[in-house]
Amino acid sequence: MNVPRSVGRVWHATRPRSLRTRLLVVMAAVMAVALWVLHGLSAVHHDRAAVARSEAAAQAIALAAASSAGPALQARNASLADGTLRALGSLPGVRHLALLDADGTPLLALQQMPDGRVQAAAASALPAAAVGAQRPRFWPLDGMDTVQAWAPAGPSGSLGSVGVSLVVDAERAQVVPLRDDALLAAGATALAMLLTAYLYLARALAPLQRQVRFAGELAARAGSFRPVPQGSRELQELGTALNDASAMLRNQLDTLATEQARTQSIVNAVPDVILGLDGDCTVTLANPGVASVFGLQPEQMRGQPLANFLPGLNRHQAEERTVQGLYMRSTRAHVARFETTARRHDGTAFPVEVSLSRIETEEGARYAAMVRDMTEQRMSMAMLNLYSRALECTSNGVVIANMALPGNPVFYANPAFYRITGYEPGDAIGRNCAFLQREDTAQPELAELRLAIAQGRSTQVVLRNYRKDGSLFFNELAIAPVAEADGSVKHYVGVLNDVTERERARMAIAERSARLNNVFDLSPDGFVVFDSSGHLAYCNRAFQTMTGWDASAAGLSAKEFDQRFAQLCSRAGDYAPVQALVEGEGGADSAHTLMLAVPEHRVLARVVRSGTEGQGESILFFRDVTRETEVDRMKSEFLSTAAHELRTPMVSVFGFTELLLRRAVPEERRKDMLQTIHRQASLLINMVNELLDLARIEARQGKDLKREDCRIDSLITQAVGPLVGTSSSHEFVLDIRHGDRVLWVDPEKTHRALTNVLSNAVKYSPEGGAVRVSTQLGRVRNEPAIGLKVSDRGIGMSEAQLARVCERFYRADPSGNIPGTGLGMSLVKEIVELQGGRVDIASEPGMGSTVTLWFPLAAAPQPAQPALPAA
Amino acid sequence: MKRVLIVEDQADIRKLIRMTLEFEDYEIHEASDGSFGLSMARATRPDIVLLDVMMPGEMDGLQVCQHLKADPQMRHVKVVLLTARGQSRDREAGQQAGADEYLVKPFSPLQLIETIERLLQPA
Repeated sequence: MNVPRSVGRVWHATRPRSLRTRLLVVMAAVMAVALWVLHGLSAVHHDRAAVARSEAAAQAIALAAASSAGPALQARNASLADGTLRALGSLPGVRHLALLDADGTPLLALQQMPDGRVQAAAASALPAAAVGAQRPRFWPLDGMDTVQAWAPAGPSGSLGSVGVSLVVDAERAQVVPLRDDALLAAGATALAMLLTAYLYLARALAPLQRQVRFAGELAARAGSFRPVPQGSRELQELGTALNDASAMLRNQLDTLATEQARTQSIVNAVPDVILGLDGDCTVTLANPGVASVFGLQPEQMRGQPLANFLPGLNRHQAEERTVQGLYMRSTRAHVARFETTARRHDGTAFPVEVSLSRIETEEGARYAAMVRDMTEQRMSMAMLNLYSRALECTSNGVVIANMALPGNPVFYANPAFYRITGYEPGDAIGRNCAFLQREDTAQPELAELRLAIAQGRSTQVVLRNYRKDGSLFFNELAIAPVAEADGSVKHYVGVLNDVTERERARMAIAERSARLNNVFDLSPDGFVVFDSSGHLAYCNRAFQTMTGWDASAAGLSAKEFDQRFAQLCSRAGDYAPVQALVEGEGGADSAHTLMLAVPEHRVLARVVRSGTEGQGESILFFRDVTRETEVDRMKSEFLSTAAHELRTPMVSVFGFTELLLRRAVPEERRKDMLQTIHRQASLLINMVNELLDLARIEARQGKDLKREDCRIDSLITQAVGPLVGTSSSHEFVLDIRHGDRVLWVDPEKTHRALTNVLSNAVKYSPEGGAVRVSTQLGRVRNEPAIGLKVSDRGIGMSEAQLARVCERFYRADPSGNIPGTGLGMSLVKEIVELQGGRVDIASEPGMGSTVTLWFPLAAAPQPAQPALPAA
Repeated sequence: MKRVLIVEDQADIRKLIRMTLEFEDYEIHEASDGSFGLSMARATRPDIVLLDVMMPGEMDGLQVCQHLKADPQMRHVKVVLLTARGQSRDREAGQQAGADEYLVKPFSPLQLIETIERLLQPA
């Protein structure tokens, strides 16, 4: 079928440009074809119609002829029907008309001549085969198209039949003008249509041209907007669509621009190096990242082979690597990823990770490389490894607990943890660290631990923990929270330290300290400690009692201590300060005696030892030597008193003897002198004896008591007797009720005791008065006893004097105005108590005193038993 | 005749001094305690007072001595302290009280006479 192809080719070559023309051409062509078809079809139709009408006419004529020829056929006379038949045969178009009898023999045959005349024709003109046909039949005859129709005459042709042949052309001739008219009309319509279309299109397409121009400008002025043209819907739609397209184009351009900008900024911002390479692996593009990684500007890199920066990576290498690498179907690129060593522009090498991709393009292979500087990453990894190894190697146990899970389980424990606790690796994982405490949960440090965890802070505690084998160890646990970026605490790190040795040492020290503190506290001597900074760190209870001052409360400096202490002294100027000793270097101990007036008169001996063994601490030792000092004072007082007392009789003895020797003394005066000498000598003897007795009693503690049965009345009278008359202002009143009772005592010593009491009664009632001596029943240590009571109406004693009256050398009146050794009552007390008795003294200042000597009435013990001193 | 006042609480010692002085030519007055002695001194205006230190009562010998020496009318009177206290401390106390002489008991009576004579000599 070459025709369509050639037509097509011609069409292609010669087709007009504009739609309008094209449309017109096409329309014209279509119309032409349509007209041609129409023409053809109508021709055929008309023809058929003409034939059909001809047939119908022929049939009708035949039938008419048949029916009118009926009688003729009956009469077998054709001339009867001749007129009718002629009339019929002269109808336009009829060509032949034949009348046949029942045998088919033509009775009459008519023929119409071209001029319309009808004449008889030979019967042979009828086609024999057509006779009797039921239907009209088309039949060419004499070069003309005719139809032949037969109609039977009489019932079922019994009489004969009539055959008519009609020339179709007549009908045709009638039809053709019709047809031509139609055709013409159609043609005219078509032309009108074409014209109208041409013109309308011209008008309608004009806006289209404008839209076309507008569309052309879209590319340049995207986003611009033309008002929708008035006109057809299609035009409006086009206008709207163009506007929409314009807007969309604008959006897309904007998006594209944004994307591009973003991509560009990414590329610029990426710290990694992005290189575009050509097929020879020469750098064509470089992003700003090259500055920080290679130390070059992008412009400097362009044109250089890649191998300058990644040694060994030439095109062969690149090709080999990428081809063997991953194939990305989406981008159709081969990608290889590897690590290598890069070289900076100054020659230093550093580790990098390279991602190299190869793309086949029309111009050949292209490469893109992304280079990442791995130096920091390597260092981080190395540091991480180091940390990890450090954790593994440290001797402190390290655990990490996950606080986000219930129970805060441990999920990491380093080897040291297992070594310290004796558990197997893995024993701790998943458990709360508290399992180390076992049942020992009553530890106060646990409360601090819980509080710190609840508050999300770090803390350090010392706990009692137990190893797997049950042995105790002291765990110095330091915990710290690990905060997430948002500040929440998801983990806690714990560092364990086995401080058992330290704790034991600490406990031992604490025990020792407690012991020392107890010792210090119990000690009756005062201790004050100044620490190495020169501040008072400790003073014990005895010091506080001595001075009435708790110096430890204030953390005093040595200077302040001195100031305060000086105020306690009876004479502040006499106080020897310790500041220099405390703050100075160590040296020999220095001792001083201090006289306190506050809180009461006391004498303290102080020793300062400073800088003990280079520690810088100083210790002050205080001993209350008031008693000793008092005793010393009393002893020296006693000595001088004793000296006085001893000397006084000697005055008479020495003086009178000198007079007697050196002067002539008259006889009567001589006797007087000698008597005086004798009297005073006796007094002296007594005094010496008293002193010696006391000394002996002190030394022997009662081992030389000579006990025997002594009646009370004789004891008393023997003691009172010598004293009666010695003082004119005193009288002795005796009221002895139990005089017949017997005491198991040393008579001589008991006599001494009684005598002392009696002479005291006299001495201490210088106004005079009665001295009453009486006896009383009572008890000593739950044993029946007798009391020998001596009462005077003298000056009496105060409570303070009463408390001390039996002390050795204690003088109620130490001024010496009342003579005495101070030994009298102490001798009495010694004697009475050594014999199992007791001395009771009652006194009221200004009213007098009563001294009662109690002696037990016990039966005489076995001589073998020695007399025990009184408890 | 010089006047001597003896202030001493012990009777025997008073007697000793009196008997000692009777061998010489003196007018003798006696008192047995400090305050009585002071008033006697003012009353009798002796030339010399022999004063015991240790005496019972309100005043002891040192106080009497101080009083005497403080009194412008009695200042000229010589005072001899007689005492059994012989320590240097006691001697100083006596000196501070203003005593002219200090004798420790037991004293030699002859030495006493010699002391009195010395003190009563015109200067």
